[in-house]
Amino acid sequence: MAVVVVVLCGAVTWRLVQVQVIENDRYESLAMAQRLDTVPIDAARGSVFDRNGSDLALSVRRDSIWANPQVVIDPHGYAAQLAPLVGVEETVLVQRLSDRTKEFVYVARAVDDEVADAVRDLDLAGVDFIPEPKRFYPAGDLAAPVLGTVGTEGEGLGGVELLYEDVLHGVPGELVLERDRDGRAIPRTVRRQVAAQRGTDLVLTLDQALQYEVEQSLASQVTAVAADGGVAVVMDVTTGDVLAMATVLRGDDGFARPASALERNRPLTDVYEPGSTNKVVTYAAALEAGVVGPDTTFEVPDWIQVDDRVFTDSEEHPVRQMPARGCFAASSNVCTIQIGQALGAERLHDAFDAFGFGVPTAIEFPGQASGIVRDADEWHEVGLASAAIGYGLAVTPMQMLGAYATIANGGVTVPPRLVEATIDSDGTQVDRPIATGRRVLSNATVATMRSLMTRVVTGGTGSCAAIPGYTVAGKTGTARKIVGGAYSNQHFFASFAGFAPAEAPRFAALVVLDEPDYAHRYGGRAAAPVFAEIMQFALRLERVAPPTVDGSAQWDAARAAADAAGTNCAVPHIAAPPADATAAGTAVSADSSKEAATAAGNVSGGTSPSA
Amino acid sequence: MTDVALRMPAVVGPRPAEEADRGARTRPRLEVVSEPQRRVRLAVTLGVLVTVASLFALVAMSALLAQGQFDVDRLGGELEIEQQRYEDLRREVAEKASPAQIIAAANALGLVVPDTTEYIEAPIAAPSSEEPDATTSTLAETWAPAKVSLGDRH
Repeated sequence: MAVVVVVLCGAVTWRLVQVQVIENDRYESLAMAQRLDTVPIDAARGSVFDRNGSDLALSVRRDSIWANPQVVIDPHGYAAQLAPLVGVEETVLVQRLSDRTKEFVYVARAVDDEVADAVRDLDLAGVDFIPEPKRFYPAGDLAAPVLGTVGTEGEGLGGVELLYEDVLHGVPGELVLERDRDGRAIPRTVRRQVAAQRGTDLVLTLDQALQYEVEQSLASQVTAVAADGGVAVVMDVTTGDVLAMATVLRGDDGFARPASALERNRPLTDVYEPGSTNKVVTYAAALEAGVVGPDTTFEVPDWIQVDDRVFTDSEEHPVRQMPARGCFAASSNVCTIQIGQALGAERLHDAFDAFGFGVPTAIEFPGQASGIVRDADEWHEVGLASAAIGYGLAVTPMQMLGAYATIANGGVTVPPRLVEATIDSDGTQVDRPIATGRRVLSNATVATMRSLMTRVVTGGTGSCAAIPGYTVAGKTGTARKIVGGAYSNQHFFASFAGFAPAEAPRFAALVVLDEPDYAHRYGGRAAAPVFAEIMQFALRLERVAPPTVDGSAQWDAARAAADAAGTNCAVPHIAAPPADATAAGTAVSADSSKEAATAAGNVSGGTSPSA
Repeated sequence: MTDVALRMPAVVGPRPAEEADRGARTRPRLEVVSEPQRRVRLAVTLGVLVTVASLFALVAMSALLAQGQFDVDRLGGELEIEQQRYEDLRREVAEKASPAQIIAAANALGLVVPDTTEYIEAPIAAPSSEEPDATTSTLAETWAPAKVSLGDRH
């Protein structure tokens, strides 16, 4: 008996020594691991603001619903109750809830409070909730291709959300603490915290109100002229700030709507042949080189043969003696080709380089295109003639606008920017510097170009771009598209680019419509009215006073010119029905929308000024 | 010095004659207590008292700490709820301030975009319109300090 007692005592003693002394560290760590809990601290994703501090994108916590399939005893019953509430197919839920190899499956992520409350009321065992951030875009699809979007894990998938992912997502932290069996923190025990850093906010240069106006005006016109789509950009030429950047697409129902976040931000990602809007570069280069003056006279027929190609003006006319300023106002292809030939390929190509064609703009943006400008020695005669009138090269709308902004800025390039400032995790706002441009044109050339471009609006092809109270300078563009490997006579880019006030430029804008119907193929008819509307709004929004009390002189002359040509310059405001209404078949068809616009006298089918 | 002490009950002012007369009948039995024994008893009593008091103090301290932790947890929960409320309200404000909502509200009130814009020439002496624009950024004044206060998310 005594031996047994001694042995037992010895065994117990040995075990105590083993636990408390020999393997002390191991058991201590096991116990600690049982109590220690590491709680991840999510870093809130940074917000995106417009230039006035309005939220364009922000993250708000929402409940995600999850389930433990090992606890769920009736997957079919659960799925039947959950499916109608969370908007997930019942079969999908059954599949998830039946996977007993897992202890965690999502039922639905970042649901609205009402949905979460409804699921909570079901009181289903094994179903629980965790908070997760959900990205909201309070203004809907406003500037959506610029902003981009985020994935289910909150990672940027496009636009600035993708480009600035590194700064927006912040730095997650963690909290290590000891918990009791009920999950409560044990006081005066181990507690370590690595603070999370909220993501950096972006303050964009966009103006929400102007962006909306641009999108609405552009969409209305795209609908009215049955274009495939359109883009528009507005820039402050004194800073390079992009105030609005819109992409609009016409849907199958015939109505145009602002592009979604999944679409390309076409002013930066897509290229096009600019056509006559590119003539400002040809004329500016020729003036700068001293090849021509504004009054240099040319003998201008309505066609010209270059090598084996024949180039024509948009309208037939007899041979005329035209000064350069008249050639510009009338947008004569023949005259411009003559000027291009006098300038030469090298100098024209140098001008393209100087204006920033062929390289991405200063804006950092995913998928931004460089444009296509072939080497001058590849142009030959036809290439030079084509390039002089804006063919044979491809530019992004932003690059084209940059050329106009340069003239507006006194001949100094204006590097565009899309991000005005960032706000760090500690709330410190850090302004992004305004880049310095380089001089491309002399003051004398700029003054002449402004005069030429003002005349385009006063009595030339761009009369619809006139704004009451101000003087506008600009240029129309009507460029044939390549269809089936050849330039089409039925498919065009209609564009207008310019700036205002011409005397002291503040804003430059570009509007491009992709394939408007044939009757509205001219930039002066399809794009100029949109330019006028959005420029007028921008000037009013930024309280830019008319420079002179006589500012309506151009307006009066332009109105008279438009009336003489039978052109109605108003943008018909046709509201597109909601996309879901369209899906439900309640939308008005495209044809009926055009009929409505025509009936309202907003769509003209008559002869228009030339390109 | 004697090493013993007489312990007797306290007597309040009886006369010696009476005391002597009564003492013969009711005199308490006197004991001789050693000094070390008295100290031991005193020490034990004090020790027990201190131990009990310490235990009570420990329990009370623990309860206070636990209560403090509960308060911290509760305040943390309230903080999260208020932060959530702030985010929801901020989102609501942003939605209501979006151009589409403002246009819809304006249309509902019967406001329309004018067909034409008329400009008037202001008198030279008229005050300029240099007052701060309503759309001027307030990020530095509002959001920046709020962002710091929002803290982390658990």
